[in-house]
Amino acid sequence: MTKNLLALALLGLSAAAAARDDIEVLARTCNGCHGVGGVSVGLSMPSIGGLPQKYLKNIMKQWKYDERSAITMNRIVKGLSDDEIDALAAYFAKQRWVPSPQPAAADLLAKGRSAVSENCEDCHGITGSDPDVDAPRINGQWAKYMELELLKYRDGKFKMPHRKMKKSAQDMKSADVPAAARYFGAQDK
Amino acid sequence: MARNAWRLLTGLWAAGLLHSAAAATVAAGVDAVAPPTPPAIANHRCLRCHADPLDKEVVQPDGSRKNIYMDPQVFEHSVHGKVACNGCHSDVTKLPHKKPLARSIGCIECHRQQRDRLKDNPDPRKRERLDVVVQQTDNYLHSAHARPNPKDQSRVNAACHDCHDAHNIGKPGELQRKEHRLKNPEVCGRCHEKQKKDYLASTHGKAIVDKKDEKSAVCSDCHTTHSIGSPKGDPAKLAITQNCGSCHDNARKTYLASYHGQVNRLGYTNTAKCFDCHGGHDVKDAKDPTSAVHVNNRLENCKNCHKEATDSFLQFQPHGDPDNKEKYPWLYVAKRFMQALIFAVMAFFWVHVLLWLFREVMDRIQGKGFIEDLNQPDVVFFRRFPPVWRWIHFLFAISTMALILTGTTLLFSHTGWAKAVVVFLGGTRMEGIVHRSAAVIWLSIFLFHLLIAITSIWKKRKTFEWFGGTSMLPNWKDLSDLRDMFKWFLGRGPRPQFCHWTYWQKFDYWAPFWGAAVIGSSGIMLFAPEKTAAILPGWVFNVATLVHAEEALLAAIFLNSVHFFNVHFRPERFPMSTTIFTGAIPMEEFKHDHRMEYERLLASGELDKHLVRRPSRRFDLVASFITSVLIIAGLTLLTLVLYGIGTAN
Repeated sequence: MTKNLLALALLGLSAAAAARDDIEVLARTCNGCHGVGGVSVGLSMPSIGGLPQKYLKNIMKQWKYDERSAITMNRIVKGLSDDEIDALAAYFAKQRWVPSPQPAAADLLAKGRSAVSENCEDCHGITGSDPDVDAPRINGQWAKYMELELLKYRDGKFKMPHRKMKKSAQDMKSADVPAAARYFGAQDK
Repeated sequence: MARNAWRLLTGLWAAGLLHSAAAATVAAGVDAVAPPTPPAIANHRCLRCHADPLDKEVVQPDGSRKNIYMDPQVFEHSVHGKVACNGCHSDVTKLPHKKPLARSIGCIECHRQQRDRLKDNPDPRKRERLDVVVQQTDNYLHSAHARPNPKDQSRVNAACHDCHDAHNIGKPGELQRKEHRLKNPEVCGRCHEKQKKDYLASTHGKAIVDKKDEKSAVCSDCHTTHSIGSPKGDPAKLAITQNCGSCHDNARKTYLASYHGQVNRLGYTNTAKCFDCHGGHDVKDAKDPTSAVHVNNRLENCKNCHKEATDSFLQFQPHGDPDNKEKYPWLYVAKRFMQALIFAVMAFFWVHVLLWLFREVMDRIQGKGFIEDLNQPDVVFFRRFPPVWRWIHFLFAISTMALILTGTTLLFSHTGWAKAVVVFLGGTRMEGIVHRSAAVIWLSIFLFHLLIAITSIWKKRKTFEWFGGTSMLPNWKDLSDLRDMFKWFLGRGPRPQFCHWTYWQKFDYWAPFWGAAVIGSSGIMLFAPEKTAAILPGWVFNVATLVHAEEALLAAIFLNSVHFFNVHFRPERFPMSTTIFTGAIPMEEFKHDHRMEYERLLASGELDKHLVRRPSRRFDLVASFITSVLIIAGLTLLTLVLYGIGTAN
């Protein structure tokens, strides 16, 4: 009897380990762009490790179901099942957030901070490290990526479903967009 | 055994600590301690999320949805429109804030601080409203709402924000106030669901919901806004009864004049209150067949208290108004008759007293009249009253005073003294027992005296002169004596000479016969309402209540003013006569006051039979003491009664 129970337990453990291995294998396909553990090294490619699970899940499903515009991601996630999306979101959410602080000129940082405090702080926090429950961290996120995202939010042609983000981005002055992106990109903590 | 005792003590100590901790938690929940003021966050930043009409709800961690929307225009027009959001939501020290947000809204402390800040402001208008708000918060802290919730001791039964929509509070007279008032049943009904259901079916509820009639009663009109107590407690019952009268003023007035209302106004709830008869939340018009006071339901209603109530109870008018001639003609007539009687008796005898006083003072100034020679006090006294009459008078006086004291507390239940007396006696039930016991003593003495008098006359029936000098029956001489006394008062003739009884003594004697008939019979009716209603119509209770009170007032005022003057306070007798307790009157005084009797006895040779020695010093002291106490008690009662009459509304 005891042996049977042990065998059953081992079978369960090995099945769980297999499922974890599957997600890690699947996640490796993301590493090419988003880096190992979701820590990107590309200027226009965002880090995704340590972002909120709900945020990651929502954004991937929005791409999959064409609720959100993208150049490549919408095509990639269409190949994933909803369960795989959920698992990937959970996997990357468990990773550590590693900021990639990018230096910037002091005057640009000051201008960026001013724009951030006016338009971004209420959801992302003043440095981007203390976001609202469903908003992503963006301290040390790649500035170029953020600037491009802001432009997409500001451009009416792009399908960007987050109304508040869209409104905040559109409320910003054009000149503040790169400044805000560089400011957040420069933040370590 | 010792170990068990130790465990018990330890357990009690731990329970005490737990209780203290729970109390502290609750106090914190009601923001007894002011939270530190956080740096202000511009409201427009909060409104990005909280004023989004397309995204009014958020999903909470437990899966429930929560409305976070606030109409910015509504807020701007509220009294708090200029306050920073995190001035109240003080847990928010930065954005984005924690979720879910703790409810740490410091209404009470904040209003206190605002009031204290304006304490020294020379313009009192600036803090008038805050004074009201602070008073209301103090009331709230003592209310049932501020107590720990039985199901969750960490929170109170209802906090400020459970009732007040703080984002939409208007100044008195503003539109928000009207809206809040109309919403009042809905707000209270969130917790008090059954009461809300009953209320919405009531006359009050229909007027509020269907007609939007803001003048109709809402929950807070009866239960108060902040001093809300348990409806089972006396304070709440009294407050609710009082509050009904805020709108139904005439009903309140007539209720307070009834026995039910008098007891209620004394602070006791053992008699019918508004909601006992009319229903509470489900109060309906008397014409509504489902109303508790509809004619078809009224008897059952009465039977809630008067188990043996008969159909005659339906003729009783709980709100009978003796000033309403059209609706209650018999009550109107009874009141006018009693008032005329009181006015006539008191006017006549007070004029009599004043003129008598004037005459004696004038005589004394002129060195005339009866002046007792203090250097040669009388040693021979005339025996005027045997012991039985003295005892009868003593018990009569005591029981009369007890009746006046306990009866007038009801009649003048609006006064502080009445409430204090009832508390001293141990409540209205005890007061009732004292009153009825005194009434039994009073009536027994009256009947006992009657028996003695009749027996005495029967024994002397062959020789008794019914209208002679020793008879108490009024005769023509009394009329001529009265006329001659007025002549003497005005200096137009000598003081008349009296026989054994003077006319004012006869009046004092016969008055209790009338009193016994009126007060006694009405008192018995009120004492046994069910039995009375078995043979008499219910409206007799209205008449009985009125005449019982009016006649008692007449007796109380007459005895403690006119009787006291005639016997004790007129200058010839001042400060008192102890004859009624010693039974003996000084010979010279007897000669002066009852000259004809003296001469009659002297001529017949019977005088010696009535002569006694001066009462002993000890006996005289006892009699003086008793007389003094009774006079002081009587004057005190007179003062209380006159104060009650003067302050009645």
